[in-house]
Amino acid sequence: MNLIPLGRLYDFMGARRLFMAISLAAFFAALVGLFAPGLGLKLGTDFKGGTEVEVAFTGKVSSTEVENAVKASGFSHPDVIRVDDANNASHYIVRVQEVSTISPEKQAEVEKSLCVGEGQPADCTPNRTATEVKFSPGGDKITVRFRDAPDMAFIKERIAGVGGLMLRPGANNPSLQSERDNKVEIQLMSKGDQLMAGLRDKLGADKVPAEPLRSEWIGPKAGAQLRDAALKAVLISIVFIMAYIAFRFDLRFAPGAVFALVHDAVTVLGFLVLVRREVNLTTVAAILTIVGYSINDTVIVYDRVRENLGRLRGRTFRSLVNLSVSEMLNRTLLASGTTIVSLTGLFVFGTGTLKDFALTLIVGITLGTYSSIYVALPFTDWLDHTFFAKVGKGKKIGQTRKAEAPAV
Amino acid sequence: MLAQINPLTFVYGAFAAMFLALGWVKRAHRVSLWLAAGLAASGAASAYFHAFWPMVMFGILALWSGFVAVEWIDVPWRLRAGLVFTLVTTGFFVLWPSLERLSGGKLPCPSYVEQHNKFRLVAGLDLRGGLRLVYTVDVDEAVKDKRDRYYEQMRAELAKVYGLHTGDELPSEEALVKLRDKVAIEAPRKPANEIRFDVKDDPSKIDERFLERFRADLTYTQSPDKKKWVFRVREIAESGIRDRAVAQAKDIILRRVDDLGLREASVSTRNEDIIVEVPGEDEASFATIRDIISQTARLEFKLLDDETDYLGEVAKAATKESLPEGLEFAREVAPVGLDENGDQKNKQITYAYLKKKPEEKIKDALTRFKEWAATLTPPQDRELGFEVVYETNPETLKQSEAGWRTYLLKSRAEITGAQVTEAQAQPDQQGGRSVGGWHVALTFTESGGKAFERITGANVKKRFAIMLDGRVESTPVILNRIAGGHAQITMGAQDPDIQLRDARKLELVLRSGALPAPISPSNEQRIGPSLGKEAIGLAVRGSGIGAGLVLLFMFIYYKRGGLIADVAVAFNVFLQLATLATFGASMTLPGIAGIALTVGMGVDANVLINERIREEQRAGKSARAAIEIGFNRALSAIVDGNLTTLISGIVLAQYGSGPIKGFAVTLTVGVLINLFTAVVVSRVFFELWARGFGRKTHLDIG
Repeated sequence: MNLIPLGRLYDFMGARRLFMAISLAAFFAALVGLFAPGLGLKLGTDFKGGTEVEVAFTGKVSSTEVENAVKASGFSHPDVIRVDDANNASHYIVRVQEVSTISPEKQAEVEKSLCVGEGQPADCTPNRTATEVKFSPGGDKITVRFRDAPDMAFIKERIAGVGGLMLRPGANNPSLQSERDNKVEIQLMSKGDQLMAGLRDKLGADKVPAEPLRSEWIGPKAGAQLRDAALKAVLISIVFIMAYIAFRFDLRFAPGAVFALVHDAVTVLGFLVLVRREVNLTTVAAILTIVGYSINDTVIVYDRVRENLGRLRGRTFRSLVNLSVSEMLNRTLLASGTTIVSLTGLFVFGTGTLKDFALTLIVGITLGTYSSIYVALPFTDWLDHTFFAKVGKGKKIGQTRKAEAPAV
Repeated sequence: MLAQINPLTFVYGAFAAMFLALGWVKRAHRVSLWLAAGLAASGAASAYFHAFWPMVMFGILALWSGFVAVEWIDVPWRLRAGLVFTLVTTGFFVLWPSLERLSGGKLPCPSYVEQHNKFRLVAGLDLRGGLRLVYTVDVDEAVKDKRDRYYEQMRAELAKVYGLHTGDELPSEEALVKLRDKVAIEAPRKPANEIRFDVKDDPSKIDERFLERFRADLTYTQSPDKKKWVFRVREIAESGIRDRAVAQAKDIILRRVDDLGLREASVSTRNEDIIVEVPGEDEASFATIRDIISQTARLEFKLLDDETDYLGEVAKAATKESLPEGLEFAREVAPVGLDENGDQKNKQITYAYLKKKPEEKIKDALTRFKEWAATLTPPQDRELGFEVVYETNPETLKQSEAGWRTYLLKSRAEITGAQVTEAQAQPDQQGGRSVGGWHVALTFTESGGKAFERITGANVKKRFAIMLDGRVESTPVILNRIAGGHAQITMGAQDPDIQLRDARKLELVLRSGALPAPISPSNEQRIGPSLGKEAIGLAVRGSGIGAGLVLLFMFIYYKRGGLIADVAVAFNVFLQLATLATFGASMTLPGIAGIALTVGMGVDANVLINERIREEQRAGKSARAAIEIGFNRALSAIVDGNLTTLISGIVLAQYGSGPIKGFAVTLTVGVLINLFTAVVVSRVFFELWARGFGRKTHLDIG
């Protein structure tokens, strides 16, 4: 059985200009999508942080019920994590990526009302003068340090006086966190409360307690550090891969493989911008997988070209590429096809993160296969023609490479 | 008596006897059969001593050796098939307990295996959940620390202003003593951000130029006569110090958890808290993680003041009732430098020793000791340091922590952990031989090395203290000036295993750097997976269907060749899981992505092999020749493809952190195993097909 009839020769390189143009267009479109103001990747909770609410439900609910209720209340991509609690089987942590924000103007207003800065009115005694006001990036909490043991009633009154901010009800709000450095925590109504209201609405008031155990903003798991580390690692491996290809194949093959790899990674990221998927740690893993797949596929195609270069001397590079890719077509379709089929299962049945993960990989592997033929090889051919053609006929890849026995 | 012997000893013994007898009969295969007998006998011995892994390995190797004696195909094939068998069975033993859990008990694992096999496949946070630890950073400590540094700088600057000191180095002790007559300066304990001083000499020396140096970060108030000054760390600077302390603490904790291995812990911050989530359910590893995370790891080198017998005075004034229980004073002879002739000078000094109460924890004894010490007022720029005292039980010769003793230290830290570039646990050597103990070797930065050389040069035959988190670790005597920027920290005198463990921990925390401020645990919870159970179930079903389709397709397309490919890919996944279990790696989504990629590459490699064999058969080669040439041709592509991927895997593992590292490690392991399964496993089965059951001239691979 054969997918492609045996011995069939296709003119892949005939259409190289068209496909190169398409690839370059997609590549630059992706770059624009990634870096143009107003566009760019949509970062998920792993990179941006989010709101976290811990709830001990008063009735039995499953994590799926909670997840559905959260989604129905207008939050996207919630993480529902069960907490091992001997007294309550329905104790969950819910994370959503939505956060409330306090505008800079409001922040200034709060600072002013808490006697920050010079020229304050006379009622700003040391126990009312804040030395540090920190707004949680989630807009749900203000942490204030005072010069002296703070006047709580005054703080409460002042914060309530700032328009647009709502103190979360409760006797212990604001609360003194640390006597040693006069640290006060002020809790505000935020996305967490909206989430609780949503849960109450969807699951019924008898199951949802009046107050969550905690409701707060949490910072991102991965910051710029992880992103930089990933980028650095990829750049370093590109250098090593180029060196390896230059050593095993030919210097002229190396840039094509690397360009194909970068093309795939960038275009996939562009695709994520296009379909507005969030980028999380799993996406990073998917991109790294695509990079790995792309390089593997390109090298295997190169291998056949190298073998034919040794076997059939005197033919043009383009005709050799056509022959090699045609010979390999069965293998290429089969290997990529099977991988895509197995991912399709995950895409169809998976939910949330997993579905996105599978989708990213499917797109990436399709691109990785395509780019070996239509990015790496035409690029190598172009390099050969542009930079090596003038040296003389004898120096062109297609004609000079000495016969190499298939490497073992 | 016999009943107590491990029954497996007899099973192995019987096998050994059988191989021995077979070797006697079958002369042609005597070597391998007797080797098998020897291996089985070793297995019996291992079983007798309950050495689980040696027993398993000897058993498997004995079977391999025995298999080589079976007259089937040829010796190279039997050797290779035996290798495949060995790896797969070993993998099975490694995974057995994990498989029992994964299959929900359908594949029962004998409790004997479960007890002796500590390898477990740990599902990551996203798939299984784990432990969530919340720590609060004591940011106030960071502010105090900064204040202390300003205090040192200010003293140095004052000493310069009053002509007692020049240059950029820290002023000498004499200069500081003289300074006390001119300016009374102190770093008050509360509030944490203030420095005050009273000028006794000419106040006009405190001029604009002096103030300029501190104005950026400090505000000040002065009395009308300009004699009393109060400096305060600016609020904005303080705020910055706190933020930096939290951010740095997060980075350092992340580095430490990473260095512990592959447990993909996630670390995030929330206000001034740090949240660490560790996957798994293994109490022992949680304990190590807690230990490593919460250690501040502040390393300091301080000089001892053995000239002043401060505690001798305290001892004279003390009454028995005023002392805590178990405290006594003792005297020791300490070296205090060189006399005019260059000989060592000694002095008798007093120290306090607090023996812990029988049931008391060693930590609590220290707390009690410190409470007492807080009532004392040591001379200016001096402080008490505490060191654990060990006691040897004369009968068992085992050492245990008996209590604490004091040293009188000069308060200033001459060298800190910030000046250490590298820390490494090393075995103690004596005359080139290891003597069982362990120490941690330190390498200083250039400035640290110079400072160490200067200090050791100026204090020959005096003692100094190596302190970790405020406790004295050891107090070596300086024998001579030490150049070269190296030093060692010896581990307290205990048994070598504990020494090794402590040395490794110390190495790890010193390498990752000190936390900018102490942290304290504030909350701890067990949490479930971040992906819902249902989502995981669906994903498993989806991947199962996808993988099943691929396997089925391969079978239809390449017939038996496809079946071989399927087996090779299955072996690949199986061996990967076993390897990851031995590493103690946790399986998370990124890790699984790494496995998925290598499965894709495994299918690819087998497709290449099948296609090549087809080509060769079409060219009229015999089945054997087609396999031979097909494999050789496919090999170059497989090796190149895998090696380039391996390169990126290794680089990612080296430079990545957290989930990237987890992905990279599974990828690297997967690629190596993929090379093995594609090249060896597939080939063993192809040859079995072509030659195992009568010779075939043509293989029907579609």
